[in-house]
Amino acid sequence: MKILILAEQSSRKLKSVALELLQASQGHEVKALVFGSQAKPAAEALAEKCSEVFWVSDAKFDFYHSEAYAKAAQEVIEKFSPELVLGTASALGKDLLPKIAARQAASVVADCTAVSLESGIQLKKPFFAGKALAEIEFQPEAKLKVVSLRPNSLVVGDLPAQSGSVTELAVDFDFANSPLQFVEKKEAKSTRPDLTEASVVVSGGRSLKSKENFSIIFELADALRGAAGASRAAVDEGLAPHEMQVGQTGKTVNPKLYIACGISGAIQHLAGMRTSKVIVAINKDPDAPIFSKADYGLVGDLFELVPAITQEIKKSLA
Amino acid sequence: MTLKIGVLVKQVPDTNSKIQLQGDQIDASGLKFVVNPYDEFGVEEALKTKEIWEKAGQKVETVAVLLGPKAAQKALRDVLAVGLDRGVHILDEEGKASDPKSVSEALKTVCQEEGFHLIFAGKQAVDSDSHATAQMLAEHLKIPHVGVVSKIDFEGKEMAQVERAVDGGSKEIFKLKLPALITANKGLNKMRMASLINIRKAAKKEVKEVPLPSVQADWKVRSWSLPSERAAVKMIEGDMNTQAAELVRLLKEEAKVIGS
Repeated sequence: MKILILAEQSSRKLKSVALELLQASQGHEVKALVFGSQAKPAAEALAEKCSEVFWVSDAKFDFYHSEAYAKAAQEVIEKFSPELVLGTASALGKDLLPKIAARQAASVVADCTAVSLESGIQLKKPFFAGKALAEIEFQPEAKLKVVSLRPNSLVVGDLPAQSGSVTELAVDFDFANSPLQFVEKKEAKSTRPDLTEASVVVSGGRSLKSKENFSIIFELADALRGAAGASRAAVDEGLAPHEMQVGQTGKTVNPKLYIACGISGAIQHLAGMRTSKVIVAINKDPDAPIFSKADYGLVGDLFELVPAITQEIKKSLA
Repeated sequence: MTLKIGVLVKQVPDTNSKIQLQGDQIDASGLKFVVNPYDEFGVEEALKTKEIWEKAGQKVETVAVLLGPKAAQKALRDVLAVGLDRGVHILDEEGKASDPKSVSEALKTVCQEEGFHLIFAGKQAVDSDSHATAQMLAEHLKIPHVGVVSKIDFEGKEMAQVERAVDGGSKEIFKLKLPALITANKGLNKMRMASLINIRKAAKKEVKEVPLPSVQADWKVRSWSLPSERAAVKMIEGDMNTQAAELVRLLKEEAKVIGS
């Protein structure tokens, strides 16, 4: 099967989720597409693991522009005629992959948590924020398939080395006359990893009581080099911004370790974090529903316990 | 000339619902259905935009478009009660439009007939979580879109500056020439409550039922399963420092998720 991977880079490095896409595609003819003048190291890293990398190196493509990126993808699809376009369910993938699919009169299966390409295309996709899982069946008429994978879904093994080529792709897109104009990107100041891609997430609930008290959540997250999240109740009360919200109307996270601090465990919150590999719950109420969904539970005062855990982590990782 | 604003609306199970299976299907019997939470932000933004443009002397009509079985029409009535002017219901009793491709193609037919100047949608529906249909519709209509928008400033009736939330809390700012499609994120606004007068009026507002156009889904769900339950929780006892030390030891040695 011919597979086109939509890879992403950040700070001149290939995003690690791209390795998951390569892992899923093992045994197939794989080419990759990557954008931006800073993407040379990412393109070279990809070329070691696939047969050809299309690198859109024009600095006009340094920032996401759905129309321009779709044009580039269209050109690569026409050149390579893949049967599968595989990307990540990131901000970019979620926005661009459906557009690419629509342009090819294809569909998209978004945010899959399991992909197997050994015989045909086997996909598992969560519905209702993971309260149910669906196995997906393609119609025989479906030609191009477009699929996005949730970050941290696959374990990346030793990917066989290839000596693929890097092809610089010049895309003729009329930015000046596009109805869509990129103005600027405001980079977040946070040095923490993105919630949806983090391998550790520490979240706080309403019991934190104030914005200032969230500092104990940030300190534990930082000690674990993880991301910080919040429950809907905490966000609704203004203790944390909504981009930190984990749950059905917030972010869906999929870390190795999720630590829920002072979160009771409402259904819509559990939906956003239930696929975490290991869940730790800290709550003063021994009957909080979160404990029935956790691997490890600690009953106690989070204002004492969380800083104590932070100290222990620092000691152990020192 | 009246400018039309379209609002895509989907009916979904309330996010507090517990999902259960009945045989190999989702058991809908115990579910409470509501307007998709993200669509509410689209509804409110359409009403706000209508107010702004009408203040400037422009006549505006807001039209909710929903695809689903007859029973889903309640969601359409709910958003008419909040203030949208009329509704179009694409009837799909058997769920033939089962993927983003078929739904976006069906919506395209209606949106083309209506000739919307601006379309709002939620950034995703909280049942299928595909965050795809709206962008696909925009592509079918050959109009630009910006997704996951938390701030909109109109510059007249032909241009909007929008702020889109991306990974890690960063924001991308775009200028968008209308006609265009915008998908709404939490934080854009808060939907107003339906007033008693509007609820009464909503019952009399026009809801046009149209048959599902001939569309082809590329995929459907073959089988459902529920996520596996975790093994029983291990409670860590003792005083605060013992608990903290024991947790870190277990995360390192047993769960192997930290260290090394």
